[in-house]
Amino acid sequence: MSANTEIHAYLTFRLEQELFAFNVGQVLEILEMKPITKIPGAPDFMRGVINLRGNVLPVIDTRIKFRMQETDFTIDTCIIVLTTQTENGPVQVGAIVDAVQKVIDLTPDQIQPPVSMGASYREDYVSGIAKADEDFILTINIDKVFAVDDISALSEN
Amino acid sequence: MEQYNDTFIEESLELLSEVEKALLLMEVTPHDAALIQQVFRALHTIKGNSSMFGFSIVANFTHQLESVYEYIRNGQQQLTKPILNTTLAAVDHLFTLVKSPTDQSVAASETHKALNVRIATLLQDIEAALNKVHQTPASITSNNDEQEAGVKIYAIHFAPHQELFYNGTNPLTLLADLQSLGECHISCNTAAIPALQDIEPTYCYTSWDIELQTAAGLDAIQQVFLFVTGRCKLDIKEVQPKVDAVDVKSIQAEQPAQAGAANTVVPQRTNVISSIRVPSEKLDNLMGLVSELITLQAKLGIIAGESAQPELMGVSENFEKILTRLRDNAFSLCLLPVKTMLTPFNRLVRDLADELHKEIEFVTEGVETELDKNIIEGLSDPLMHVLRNSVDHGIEDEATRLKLGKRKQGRIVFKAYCAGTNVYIEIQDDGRGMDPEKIRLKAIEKGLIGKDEVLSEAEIFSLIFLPGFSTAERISSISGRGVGMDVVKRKIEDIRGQIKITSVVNQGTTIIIKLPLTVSIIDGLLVQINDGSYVIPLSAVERCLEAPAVQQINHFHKVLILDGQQIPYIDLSQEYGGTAADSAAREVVLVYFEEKRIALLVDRVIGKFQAVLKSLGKHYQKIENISGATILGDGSIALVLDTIKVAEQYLQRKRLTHVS
Repeated sequence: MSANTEIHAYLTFRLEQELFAFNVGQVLEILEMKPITKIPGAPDFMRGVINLRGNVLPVIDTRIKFRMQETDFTIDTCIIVLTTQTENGPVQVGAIVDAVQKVIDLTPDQIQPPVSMGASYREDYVSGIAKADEDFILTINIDKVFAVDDISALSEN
Repeated sequence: MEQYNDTFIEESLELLSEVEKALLLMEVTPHDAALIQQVFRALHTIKGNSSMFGFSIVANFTHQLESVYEYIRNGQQQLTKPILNTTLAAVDHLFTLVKSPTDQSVAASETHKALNVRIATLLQDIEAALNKVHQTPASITSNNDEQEAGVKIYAIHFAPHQELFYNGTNPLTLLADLQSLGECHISCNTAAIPALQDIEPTYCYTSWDIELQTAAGLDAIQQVFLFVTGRCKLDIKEVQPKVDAVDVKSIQAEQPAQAGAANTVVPQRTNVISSIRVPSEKLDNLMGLVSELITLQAKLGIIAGESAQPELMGVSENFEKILTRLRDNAFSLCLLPVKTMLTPFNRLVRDLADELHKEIEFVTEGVETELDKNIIEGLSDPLMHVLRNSVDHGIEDEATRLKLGKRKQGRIVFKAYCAGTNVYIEIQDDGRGMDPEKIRLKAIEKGLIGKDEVLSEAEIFSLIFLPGFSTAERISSISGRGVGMDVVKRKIEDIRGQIKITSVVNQGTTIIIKLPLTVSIIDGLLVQINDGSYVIPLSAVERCLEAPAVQQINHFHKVLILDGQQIPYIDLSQEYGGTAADSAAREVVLVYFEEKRIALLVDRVIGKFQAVLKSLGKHYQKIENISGATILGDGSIALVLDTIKVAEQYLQRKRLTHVS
């Protein structure tokens, strides 16, 4: 994960009222909301697949993944295409978020390890907390949240 | 340097597989000179390449091995089983060695040392045996036997006069005549050629120096030049061999032996390239592009159909025609004959049989049958497993076989053939076979089936593929590795194949694998379920009909009656989260499931569709009843159903609810 350590730019986005951030090293592009084809039998947060220029891209509803309230999509809702690292090489996945904000620079010393107990989501999903413009921004461990194994294991239950 | 390393590794691996293949053939025909030559040449090339790259470990190791084959090639040593065994082991070792040619740890390993010792012993034995025959060990060179046969080396200087062409002599035919006498090393002197503006095109400016190894004698050489006597300067000398034979050969390999058409240069041998090597990614790319074109064509077809312009329709239809041909062509590029994957199988059967002290004849049939390279890749592991089972559990030991009145040599037949749009692979052994009754009892014992479930023989045999079922009463190190037939089945299904097993006690077992010709494009039936589009592979569909055509549907028992037959059905709209709509308005697709038929209720059958199969990605790998997705002409996605999985999951769930 050398990309993460070298790039200090983060793409911030909103889920409910919270601000989150993806390291831009793993962000490929941002898409408008598109028609999603639902896959029967898949868990809720696996929204389905979309047609990304002739390729099939699985999309995950980040809200549901973080155990937030499910809402209707708005004009601001968009899909962030991410690349995650797995044992068998990179895998692309789309993440549905409420609204994309902006790209900011966060130096490593601005990001602190998360100290939280009883968060509603799994704690290893968040890699750090940064403070910018009076807001808290949670940086997300993309490889953990959108890991293939995690998802597959859940879908079995 | 990196890229040369890759080339070295790739080339060496290829040469090694060539050697392996040749060695296995040599086991049957140990005196085939061409094979011995092939092995020697491949080893020689590996040695040469590795020393060129400075991989001395590989070079030294191969050198030893090469020396052994040098003796065999010269007829000073017979190819024996120990030599063959050692070579095969050495080739295995080389496979790992060339992958990391600089890795000292490999060289330091026990295997490396042991093999070096084995080869050295072989060499010593050969040399010792030879010393008994010839007194001097130094005489064992290939020069030796050349001299014995009366081969002499002549240095010929042939400098024609400038007017040579005037009487119609073509010096190249003379050179060709010389070549027919023996091994020829021709070099061309072009020093006398003047500058371009001074050239008199009818003059011959070139002269040649030829080194000829021949047993034909001086007279024969002079005979060649008979008609040019007086029109050239000719100088023939006999020379002593000053370089050893191997070096001469390698020089010759570098120098093109054939003289070409122009008289000023000796051009490279004019090889007509009949085939080229292409990296498989390029083929994958090509297939990807063709697939995208097909999707695009579907879109064009829709637009053309909607527009009122007849010209557009015509263009679209022609485009489709050509596209179909392009697709077929691109497909055929990705096809490989089955025989390309046979070497490891041959090897496996041979090694295992040896280990288990069984004598097994491995027969292959229809190895020219072609399959998509992706399928061949996916087949390798499961087939290995099946073969291992046949050798270990299938074929009995010699004593048992003789007692049963069978030939003492076991027989495994590997058969490949094409039928319709499928390729079949059969692995058949004449071993002990399986008793359906035993399997049934075992399945009951394991709780896989109910005590009084009535199953057909085919159904009983298919129990073997269930997870947690293993008929082996003893666990051996060979096939009892905890990998059962269920894994084999899953791997075959991964490449959209089907596997079936039939067996007769004491006559043997046959495993039949049915495979699609290609993995990437399928003919399907496009249907609508709730508000989603789905594709049912046409190969699974028997027919489709409207629900009103069905005489009777029993919703409680979930069967419908068609032509007087009861057919169980699965209401897919209900399955996939929709509410059961008015069933009269819906359509029925009959699909094959094992030996039976089942009916799938869908909302609407839209029509035939050529689906370019795309993976749903790793995130959805656990969703088994959907084998992939395809993109429709309007850009939306249709999911491709795996009807067998749909039915299996449905039945499994039903069974579970019954139990609980």
